[in-house]
Amino acid sequence: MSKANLSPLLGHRTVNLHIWPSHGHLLSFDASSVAALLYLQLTIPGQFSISYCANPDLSPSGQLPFLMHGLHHVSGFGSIVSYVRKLANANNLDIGLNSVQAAQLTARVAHVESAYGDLINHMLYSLQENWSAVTRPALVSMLPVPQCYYVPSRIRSSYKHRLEAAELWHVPEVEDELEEPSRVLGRKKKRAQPDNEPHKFKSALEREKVVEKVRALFDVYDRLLYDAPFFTGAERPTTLDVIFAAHTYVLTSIQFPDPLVVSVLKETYPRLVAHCDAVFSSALPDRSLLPAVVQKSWTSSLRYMLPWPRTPAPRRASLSMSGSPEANKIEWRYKLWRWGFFGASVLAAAAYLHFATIIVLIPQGSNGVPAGLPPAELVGRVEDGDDGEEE
Amino acid sequence: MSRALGISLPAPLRHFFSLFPLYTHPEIESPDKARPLTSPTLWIHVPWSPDADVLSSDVECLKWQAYLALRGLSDIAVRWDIAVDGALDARLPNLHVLLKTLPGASDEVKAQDDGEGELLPAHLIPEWVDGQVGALDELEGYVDEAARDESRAWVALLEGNVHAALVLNQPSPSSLLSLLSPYQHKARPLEAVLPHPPAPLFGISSLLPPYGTHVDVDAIELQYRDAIASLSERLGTDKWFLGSSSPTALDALVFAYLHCILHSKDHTLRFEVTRRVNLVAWERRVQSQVRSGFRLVPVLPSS
Repeated sequence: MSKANLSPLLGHRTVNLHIWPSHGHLLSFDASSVAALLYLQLTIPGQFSISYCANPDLSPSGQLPFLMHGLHHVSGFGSIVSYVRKLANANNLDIGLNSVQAAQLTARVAHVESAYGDLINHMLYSLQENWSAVTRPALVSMLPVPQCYYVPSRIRSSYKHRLEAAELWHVPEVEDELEEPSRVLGRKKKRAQPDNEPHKFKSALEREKVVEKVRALFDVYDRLLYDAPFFTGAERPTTLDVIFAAHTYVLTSIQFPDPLVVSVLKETYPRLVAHCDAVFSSALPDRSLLPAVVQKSWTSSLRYMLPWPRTPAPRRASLSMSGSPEANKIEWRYKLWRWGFFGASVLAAAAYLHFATIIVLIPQGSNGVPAGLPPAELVGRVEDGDDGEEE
Repeated sequence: MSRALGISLPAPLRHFFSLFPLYTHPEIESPDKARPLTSPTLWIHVPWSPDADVLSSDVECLKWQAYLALRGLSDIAVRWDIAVDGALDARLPNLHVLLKTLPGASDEVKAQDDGEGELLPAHLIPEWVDGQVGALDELEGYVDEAARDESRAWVALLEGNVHAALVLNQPSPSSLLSLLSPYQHKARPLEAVLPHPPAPLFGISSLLPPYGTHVDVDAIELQYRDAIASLSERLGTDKWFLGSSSPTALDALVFAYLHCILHSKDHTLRFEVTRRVNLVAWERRVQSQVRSGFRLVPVLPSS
């Protein structure tokens, strides 16, 4: 069914979006993947296909979501938006904004991606109960057999730097387990009261700080939304609406055992939850409108265990600055030097071989070696003589 | 006291202990003596041209320098001979202030100031400045609440996209000596700046433990270009960002990033900003204002 809807304008190349697989009734497990999906649905409905991909190594940049269109590939929500915007038959979501508002939109999208994304990562990866009850089982179910043992913890530790810098990483280095009351001769031995007070106080303080951050972020966007259905009072959702709603959707659709951020959102900011519903009903009134999903199977999961260095993309390949005359001149000089070096070394090697044989040939010739001997044998004897001389 | 307790050292032991110390070395004269503090001093990273400039080459330090100058403070001394490991939390900048200017100090503490002063980390600088020139109102100097909310978004844009591009183009240490030296300036790693963690160098499912980062350079440069374009668009012809009537913290941050970009060695980074005349003119105007607030600490000859 998806192929019948593909526009003939796109030709044989189709836009293929690879996202994290869905979990339960969620569209996808990752907020940027949901945002990319919504964006494509709003701009090029029916002209793209979706693949569920749980292996970030398939992506040329190592990150999901990524988009393949013929030979082009882009990854990350920002780059996908810039790419799709330039496609010929794409609807422009931000058409009603003037230049200042478009500039503000760029800043706000960056703010949502960084601040709201941090909060979601904190919920999924930092809070221990959520990690063991929701995130880890979900990741394990998406990955094949060798990878499901070690990749989830690697994914978790990859978020550590960023969350630590944002003071949202509250994972204890060593997990303390509650001691089982030891049994001595069938009777429970009384153990001294464990000193939990400082721990409880510290974790309560940390949670308070997280709640403060959550409120600071949601206050800003609640004020921006005010009473309109979408941000900036537009009639249709803009890029900012798409990315904000995607994050809210991921938060509200997963059942978290430790709903720190979700409870604040649902109790104090019902307008933001309503905004998410409005965006989804505008983009996807019916789930069946989504193109059919192409399920990629892990043909050989063992192959990805081999460490293969990713070739870094050429730094100046896609830049328009590579045409500047200064850079061209410098490059040409380097090319000259490089080929000059190779040529000179080849010449020197050839000259050495040539002259070395001649120089040693001359004394051999004077010793009365018959001139009719084939040159190969002569050279052979010359080589031995050479070795003898060197020693 | 030992008599009151009824316990005392036995005489042979006391005699034995009185033999020590056996030899006391004479006091060593050190040329590094801490001078008593006379004015607030900011510890920063070394500027690009130490003889001619007081503006630091590091974005964080420059950001706080601009904040201090734009809030109206002047005659602040600067020094850059302190190694990074000597700073609080191993992060410069730090502000060395006189005890009597601390807002929270009690009167006895202020009275016994002997020139040692107090060292403040960067996040306590705004509080100190409030104590000096008066606290800002709730709007923090912005025109209205909407502008204040918008400033948060601009801060996130600068500290994310623009900072990532700067970090990527940091010049790597070239000489062997600088590689071996233990006092290296470690900037914030790229993983802390990007919103999505970059993939490890050999892929996340490989047998090797995750090492290094495989950075998507094209995506970062694209976002950087969008960021600079929107920054220039928003500034327009205003005197201060977001139409404020007086400089705000956002102006200090923007100035720090623009100044560092204009002094970076990478052509593409610089070109994006030099193409936008209003940004260059704004940065030049703010530069003179920021520079006027600082002076160099004169180095006394060691006696």
